[in-house]
Amino acid sequence: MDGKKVLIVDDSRVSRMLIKSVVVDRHPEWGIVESGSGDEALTHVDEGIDLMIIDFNMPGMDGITLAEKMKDLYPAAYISMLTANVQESIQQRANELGIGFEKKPITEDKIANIISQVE
Amino acid sequence: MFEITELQRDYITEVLNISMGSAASVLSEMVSEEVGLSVPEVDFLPRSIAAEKFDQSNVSTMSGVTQSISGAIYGDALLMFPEEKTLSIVRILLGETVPVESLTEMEQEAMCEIGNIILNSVVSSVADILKKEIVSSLPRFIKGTGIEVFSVEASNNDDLVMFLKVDFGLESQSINGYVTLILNVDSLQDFIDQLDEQINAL
Repeated sequence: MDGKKVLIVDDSRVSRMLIKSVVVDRHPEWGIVESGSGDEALTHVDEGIDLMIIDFNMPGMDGITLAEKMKDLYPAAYISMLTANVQESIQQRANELGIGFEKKPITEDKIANIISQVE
Repeated sequence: MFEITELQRDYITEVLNISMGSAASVLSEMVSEEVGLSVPEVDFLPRSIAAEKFDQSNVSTMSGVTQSISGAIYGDALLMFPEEKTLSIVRILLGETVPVESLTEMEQEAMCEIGNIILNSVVSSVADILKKEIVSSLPRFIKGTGIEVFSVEASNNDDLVMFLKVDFGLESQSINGYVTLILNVDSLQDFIDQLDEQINAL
């Protein structure tokens, strides 16, 4: 399959729509899977994922915990946090985990920057 | 009545100035225009008086988003707009991503995400200045008068809160809003102590 598979995990439907619109605009052939929570995202583990864009504050599992689990399951996938919680302590945890970090609000440039990691 | 020194008041105002500056920058990025900010107001008031004060400065019902905060400080953060402006704000922010006929349906969800981004920006700045972590709850859409949105009930009517308020405006859209932090009384002394640590380190 030529296209990549992208997993978007954010409890905000609006945010998922904004992210998806930029990805689809640039890569209409890519597959996109959406989840509103970490637990739901983990049910997609059978679907080979190349890129994960994950919010931090969500109901249930937070985004860093999910990213830790996903890194074990998909060591080759690129993972980026995309969050409004821009505290230094959260950024530091993302750095320690070796994943990307982008601050909301969602803009085309920020999404383009994330997807450039797998293009 | 809870009292603070002029230096402490000055420092709280400056912390809020920096935090709102960061939030204004985020909002400006979202709406692609400059955001005007007022000088922050800081008061220590019973919750019911804070609500009355809020109502006196607004002629219409307000709607917006609230998040509970805990950790280094605890209380509530609120982002409020006049109710009749929320659809305009959502339209500016979502642009053409959402069809016009779906805007009303998306209004509350979109406002929650806007509130999430702006309030987290404020709270993250405060946390970074205090060099502590603050945990935010998920955003909740609210609307009503000050009495309603500040959750004034008979049981907490006299609770002392720190009422921090900043007005901001988008000139081209004639939209003004407010960011308010209400810190619970038990949290106040901790907050002041943490500020003193910062002041003493200057």
